[in-house]
Amino acid sequence: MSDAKLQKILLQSNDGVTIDVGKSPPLDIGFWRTPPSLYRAVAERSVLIRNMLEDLGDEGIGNQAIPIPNVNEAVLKKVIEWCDHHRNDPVQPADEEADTRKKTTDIEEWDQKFMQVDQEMLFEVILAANYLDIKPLLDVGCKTVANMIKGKSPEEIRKTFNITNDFTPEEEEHIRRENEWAEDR
Amino acid sequence: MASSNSHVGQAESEEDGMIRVAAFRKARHSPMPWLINFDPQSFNINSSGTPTTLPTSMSSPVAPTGKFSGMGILDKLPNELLTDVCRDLDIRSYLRLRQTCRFFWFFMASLTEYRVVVDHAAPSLIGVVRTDMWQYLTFTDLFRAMCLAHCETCGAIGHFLYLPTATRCCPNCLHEEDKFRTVTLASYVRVSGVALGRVQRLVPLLSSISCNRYRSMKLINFDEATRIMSTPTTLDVGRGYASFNLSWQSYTRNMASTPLPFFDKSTRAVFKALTCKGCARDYSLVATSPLVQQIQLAGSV
Repeated sequence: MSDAKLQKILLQSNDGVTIDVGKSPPLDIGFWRTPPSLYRAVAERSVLIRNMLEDLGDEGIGNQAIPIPNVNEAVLKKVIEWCDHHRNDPVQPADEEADTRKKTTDIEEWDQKFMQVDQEMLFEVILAANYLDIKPLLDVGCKTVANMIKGKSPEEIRKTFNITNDFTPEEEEHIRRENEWAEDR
Repeated sequence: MASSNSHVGQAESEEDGMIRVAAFRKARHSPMPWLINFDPQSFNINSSGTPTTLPTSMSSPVAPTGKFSGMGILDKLPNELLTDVCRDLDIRSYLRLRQTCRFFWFFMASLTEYRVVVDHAAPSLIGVVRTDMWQYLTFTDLFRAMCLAHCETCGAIGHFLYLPTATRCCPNCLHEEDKFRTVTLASYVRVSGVALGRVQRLVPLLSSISCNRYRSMKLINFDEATRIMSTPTTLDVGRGYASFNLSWQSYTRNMASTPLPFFDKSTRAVFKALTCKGCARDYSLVATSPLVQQIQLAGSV
């Protein structure tokens, strides 16, 4: 294949499953959702994979599966689902200084639905996004976790994330005094 | 952090002197100086019994003893990702998450944004908490504004922070620019006809600090409210709603702003007061630092 965009990309998860970016669920429900010409664009949402593909060159890829050693099948499919939906997003410049004040609650509706998974999966997706270097997905994940914390009392936060209160009684007293000024009005 | 010379609620220094002068000048220009400023030595009288300093354990938590145990599922995330999550938290949630377990207690006290704000902008932080803006602003917002020396509107020196949008501004813009128009919740609701509950739920609400005989008022930024609620920008304000009135604006805008020090990222130096165009010369005597001089030159064109 001479046209780079037409290339199929195969990814191999850490449990040995080969996933065809373009045929993995939910894409096989409607094949047209991902025209073959976009396979590569989907995979290239990941900076890690983009760099790998560049290093390999067009011939190097062939039908070889790219091993993704840190991510299992279920999570990888979930991540590809996100990449597929966001394949046409403009690549945002990595200029951290320029970012204006952004509201944490501002998560796209599709992304909010996408992140409605159990905590285990949510954290796995965040870790995978971190490993695969997909900045926008990582942002969405961190914001989702932040939103789970917001508006809750310390006790409710502990319950949500199964955090154990490991303060000693003296420390507890310290903390109570420290927070008095802000909380009790 | 390296520079430990500036403690929370420290005794008067030259820089504090500068901010007091600035506050005083502002007081002279407005008949009712409701400037949110918890600097103990400032001209603004703090009558509500609010502590004017932060608890010391906020800036230097007692050294950890024993080991950390109970982070629960958050244990899965490496520290740099936890940092990202913390940066997204509003100040109230930040402080509350910090109270959940020992790991967060120490970890979250070491974040740059938190350290700089707590160590160098304690009065501003108290103002943010007291006005209820801590539900909306993050330490990142305050830190970002602290790193700016100039008014984000006109580019002159600006040492105030307009709380509803976390924008650094100079006194001139604060009082004259339309985007800082601050109105009471009640009058916005009456003029716009939007349901009270919706506005309360969606628009950042600032509770002004009760001062002397003035009780606390619920204030919102008109532009923010207009944007969020998609109400027309030109509302009929001709029916005598007090807070839309121009003379009231100088009070409400003061109630929604607080002085904010400038933090120079490259040198980690802190300047407690920056001067604006009009009064730059008043501070020329104390401004010995080359940086301040440079800023003044840039601002007093």
